[in-house]
Amino acid sequence: MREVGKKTLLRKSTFREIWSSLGRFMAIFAIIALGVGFYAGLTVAKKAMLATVKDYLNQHAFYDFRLISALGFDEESVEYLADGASAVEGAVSFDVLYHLGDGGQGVVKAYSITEQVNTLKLISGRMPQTQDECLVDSKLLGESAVGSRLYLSEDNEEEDLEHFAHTAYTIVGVVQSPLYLQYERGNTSLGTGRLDGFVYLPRDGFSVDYDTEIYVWFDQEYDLYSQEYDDFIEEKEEVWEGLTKEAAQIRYQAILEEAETELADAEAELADKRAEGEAELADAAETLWDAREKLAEGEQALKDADDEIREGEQTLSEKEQELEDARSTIAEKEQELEDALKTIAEGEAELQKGEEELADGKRQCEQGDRELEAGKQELAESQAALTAQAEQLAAQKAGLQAAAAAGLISEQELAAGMGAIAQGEQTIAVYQTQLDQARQVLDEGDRELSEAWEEILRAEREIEEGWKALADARREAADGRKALDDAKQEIIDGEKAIADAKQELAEGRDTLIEKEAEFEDAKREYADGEQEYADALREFEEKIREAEAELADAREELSELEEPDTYVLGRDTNVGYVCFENDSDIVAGIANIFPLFFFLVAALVCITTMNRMVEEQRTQIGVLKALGYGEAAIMSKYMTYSGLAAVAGCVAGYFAGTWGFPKVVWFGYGIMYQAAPIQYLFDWKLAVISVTVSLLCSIGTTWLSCRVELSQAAAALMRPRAPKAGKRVLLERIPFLWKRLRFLQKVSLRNIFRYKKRLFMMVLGISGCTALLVTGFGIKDSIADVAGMQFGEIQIYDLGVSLQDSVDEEFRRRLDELLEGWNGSYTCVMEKNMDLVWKSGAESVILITGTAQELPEFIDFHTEDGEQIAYPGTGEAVISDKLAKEYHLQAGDSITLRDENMRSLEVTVSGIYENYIYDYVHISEETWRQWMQEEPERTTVYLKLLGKADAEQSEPSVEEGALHELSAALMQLEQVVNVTLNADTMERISNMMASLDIIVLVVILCAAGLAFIVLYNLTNINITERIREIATIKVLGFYKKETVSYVFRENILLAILGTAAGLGLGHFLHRFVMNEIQVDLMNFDIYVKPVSYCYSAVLTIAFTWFVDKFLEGKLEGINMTESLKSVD
Amino acid sequence: MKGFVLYFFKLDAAKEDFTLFSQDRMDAMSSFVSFQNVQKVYKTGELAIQALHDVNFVIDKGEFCVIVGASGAGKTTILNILGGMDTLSGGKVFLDGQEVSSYDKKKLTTYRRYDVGFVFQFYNLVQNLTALENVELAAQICREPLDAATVLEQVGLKERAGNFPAQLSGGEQQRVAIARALAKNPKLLLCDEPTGALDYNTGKAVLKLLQSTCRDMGKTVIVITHNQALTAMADRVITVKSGTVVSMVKNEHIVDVAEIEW
Repeated sequence: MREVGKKTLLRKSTFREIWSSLGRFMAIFAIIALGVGFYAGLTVAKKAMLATVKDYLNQHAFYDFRLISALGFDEESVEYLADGASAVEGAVSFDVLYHLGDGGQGVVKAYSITEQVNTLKLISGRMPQTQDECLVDSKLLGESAVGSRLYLSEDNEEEDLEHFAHTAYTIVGVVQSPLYLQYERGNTSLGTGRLDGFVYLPRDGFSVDYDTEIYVWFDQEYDLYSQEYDDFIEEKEEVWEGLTKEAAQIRYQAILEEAETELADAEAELADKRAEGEAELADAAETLWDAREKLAEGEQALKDADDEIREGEQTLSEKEQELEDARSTIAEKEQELEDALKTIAEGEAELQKGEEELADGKRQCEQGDRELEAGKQELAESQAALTAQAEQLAAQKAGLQAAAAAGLISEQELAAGMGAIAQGEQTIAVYQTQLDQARQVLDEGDRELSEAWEEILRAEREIEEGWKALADARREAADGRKALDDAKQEIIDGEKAIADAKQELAEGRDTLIEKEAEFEDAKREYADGEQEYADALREFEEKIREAEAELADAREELSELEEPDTYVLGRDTNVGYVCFENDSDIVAGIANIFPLFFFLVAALVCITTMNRMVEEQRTQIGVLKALGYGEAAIMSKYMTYSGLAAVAGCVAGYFAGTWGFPKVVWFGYGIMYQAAPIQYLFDWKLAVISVTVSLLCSIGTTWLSCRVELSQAAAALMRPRAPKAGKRVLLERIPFLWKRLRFLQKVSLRNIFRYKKRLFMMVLGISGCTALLVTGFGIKDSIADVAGMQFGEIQIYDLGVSLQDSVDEEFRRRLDELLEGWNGSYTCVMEKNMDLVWKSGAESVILITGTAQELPEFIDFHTEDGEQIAYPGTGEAVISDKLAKEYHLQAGDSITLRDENMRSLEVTVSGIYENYIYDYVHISEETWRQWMQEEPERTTVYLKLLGKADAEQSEPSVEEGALHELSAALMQLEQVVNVTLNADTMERISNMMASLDIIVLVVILCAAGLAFIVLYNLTNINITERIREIATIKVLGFYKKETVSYVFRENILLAILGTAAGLGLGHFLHRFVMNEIQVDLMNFDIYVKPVSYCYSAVLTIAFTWFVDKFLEGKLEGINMTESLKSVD
Repeated sequence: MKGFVLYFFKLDAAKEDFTLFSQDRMDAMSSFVSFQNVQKVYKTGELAIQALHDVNFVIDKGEFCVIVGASGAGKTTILNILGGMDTLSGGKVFLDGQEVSSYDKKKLTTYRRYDVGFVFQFYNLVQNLTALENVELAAQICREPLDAATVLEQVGLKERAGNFPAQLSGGEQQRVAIARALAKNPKLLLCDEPTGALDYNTGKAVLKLLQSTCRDMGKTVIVITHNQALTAMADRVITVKSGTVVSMVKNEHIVDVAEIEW
């Protein structure tokens, strides 16, 4: 009972103690929590990450083996293997150029969707239902891509396109694939050489009938990267190598058989084809012969026709002539007829005239008759008249003579009368004569008239005859006319006949011409036919020869067809899987070093705290001892106290750490890895270790503290402990310096050195804080600056342009055009993925060929120390330093590079240059030519625009916007496949590295926590230890500020001291941590920016200041009456 | 051990009658130190403890005053208030015409700095400073400090100036403490059980030093003690009991320190 009571009271006392000195309790609690949290958190972070990824991989049946055969596998192969594992599934994968119809182009790896292994995680959308649907990489395209179409580019080789059933696929879902844990998508021989992502197609989406690989999955629960897994896999691998060979053998045999059959078929076919061809040719020859004969016939016929036509023509012209003659005869005849008619008409007229004349004559005759009658009458009358007259006259004469005689009348009148009778007598005489003549005339007329009547009768007769003749003539003329008309008709007919004949002839000629043309055609055709035949013959022969050769080749090939090489590839060939191990190691690397440090500090904090506590409670211990409590009982109080604090801290720290750290780290990694939410992992072992270490730190140190005090006698304990004597410090022995110090500074210095343990702790704690900060910032500097260094100092060009084909003059010309006004320069190089052959395998490197004149302007080759390196000469190579480091290469060593066709290239390393991203091997074009006997394919152009990246030049750098414009303009060029802006790449890498900010933040927070706890605790101890002193100086009238500075000057000094030490420590810690977290592909520049040192220092001082500020209140709260109390 | 370090002191023969506490001398303005109806209540949660009530007294300039009382009588509270280390709940406190009770924290600090010199029961020397430095520590914050070395010499510790407190005896340490208080050249020297931690002889010597300081330097010295014996050497004796002043007597028969026995 007594025991119980004692214990109960002690426990009560302990709890009261905790309550009354909560700050101290919390200090231990906090530092243990921080230490455990950091340790457990970081340690478990890797495990939790691994567990999470393991679950993810298991859930998605991530393959254990990927079987590859040079010949591929067929269904039987898969079936053959099916029983050997939990899941065996064949799959197809091909790289292919694709585009989304927006002008850009990229390369993806297309996989067939597998059901049992490597199952996909659907982020959005659905699984494909038809064979022209596909799923895309969630890193490649976002959710918004669902529904759009993905096209296989026309730039693909035909044979590559043949692997696919379609040329466009509808994106129906966005997925994550366990094959790609990490952001890295790998390389390809297509396009830019880098895969942009992957797509998954239904198996039907491919048109190949074999599987390119087989994935094998064992349902096992081994930890990732564990030895157990390795052993398990190793064991399996032996078996599976054999199995794979056998499976491949199935395909091999099948191919062999098939080939054999095919060959036989081909041979048969060839024979058939040959026979067929020959027959066809013979037919053709025959046809040709016939054609030739026909042609000859035709020619003859043509000739005959021609002759005929010619004859016809001849005849025609003769006929025409005849006709012409006839026509002229007719004309003559007509003329004649005309003349005759005229003559008839004339005859008629004459006849009519004759008739008229005859009538006239008759009339005249009748007139004559009448006139003759009248004349005769008149003559008779006139004779009568005249005889009357003459009788009258004679009467008159007689009368006159009578009268004269009568002398009636004068002589003269008688003479006149006798003269007028004489005249009358004379006139009667003349008339008598005339009458006589008239009688004569009448008599003549009478005669003549009768003659005329005679004549007239004759004439009448004549006319009669004339009419008769005329009628005859007329009849004759009419006959003539008729004959003429007939002749004319005949002529017309003749003409018509001639025209017809002509027409006919013309037609005949046309036909002839046509026929001739036809004949020509036929001739040509024949010639063609002949040519064709000759060609066909040649072709046939050639084909036959070819086919024979092919068959021979095939046969030879078949005979050479060896059993296919098979590979059993484990998970360690998956980039994501391997990288994840490396990357999770980073965390483990940090976890290895930091917690040690924290625990050290925790132990120190505990020891000082408990020391102080035990010291403070000396008297109480003495009393308890005096009261008869045993050492163990007394000690148990303090142990309980610290133990409780430690266990509480441990529990809090453990859970906070194991919950929080993996979360934060995973969040950071989420940028690089497909993030499944991190699992909470409770690690018993870790928990036990944490508790053990915490208890060691607390109880162990408590025991150490108590042991000293408890060994003293109770009485001694009850006496106040002699205050720790003041001591002169070393510095005082240097009066030169010491005198220069202000009084209070001296005090501070003395105080600092008075408590060495505290000094040590404080410096350690603060330096630890600074070191952590330096490391944190340094990690960021080293990693984040990689891009800056790479593109600012090494790859000093601005733009990288990938071309479809080797650069040609045309492209150079267009580039020059584009660059007009840019004041830039460019060089064309070959960038090629090669394997650096190494004992243990091969490392992928990028080979760049250039010229010594041009390339150094675009890539600055220098060593880590900034020493320039000469461009490699023939047979030499300059390699990146990480490569050199990794394979322990030195200048003068020889390396072998191999391309995808296994052609190799051996060069001597002439220099090792500073490089951070990727592994490069630089050789000159000449070297390439010499080894490969070919021109390098210069498909990459480096473009540099003046003013940028050249530190010496004060010209402003080219604006990024302008660069993008140029980039876009370049993309427009047909030959350009891709344009990379180094500035963009830099930004991208920087973004990626931003994930490290989280880690840095964690480190900074931890550093702050550490600094705070250490500073708080120590300052707290410092203050409580010196409470009387502080109260005293307050009583002495020190102002608040003076008091604060009196106390905290030490802190500040120690902080500065600690910071200085921490900067140095940080340098090494950073180096250590960086070495732990080396990552493939990147060569971190282990480098801390001066500004980071500054930040670290400033932050540490700031933490110190903050703690001091925090504790100022406590200082303020110190009651001056403390000064009146006795020494505890 | 009687007559220890007498050479250091001059005997003050002045003898005054003990006069009873009189109201007319209570006038603040006329007295150097004056407490008027001072009250002090400590509150801890629900509980209020009246430490002082109706405390009235005056001390004249240059007087050697002993405030005496049993443990818990309230004398330390009076010291705290007078020393500017604590505030009061009621009443007024004057020093040299200034109302100390109205001072705020900062003014109180200044008050402590320039007007009051403390001598503690446990010396409260800064362990990390030598004797001289401890004196300097106080001296350097004052307006018109006395020379630290001189003061140290005056208290007879010239040879020990470079020693750390741990290397000094209790008496020596207390003398350093007195030197530290004196170096500030304060208006008032407040001593809290200055002999409490010292053996009889050493205590006497220290008291002698204090007395001579009062007499020779004209400093007003207030000694707070539970030791009734010390009242004999005081100019004025103020007795405190149960939180209030029960008597204030002017000592007419001042006895030399050497003759005091306890």
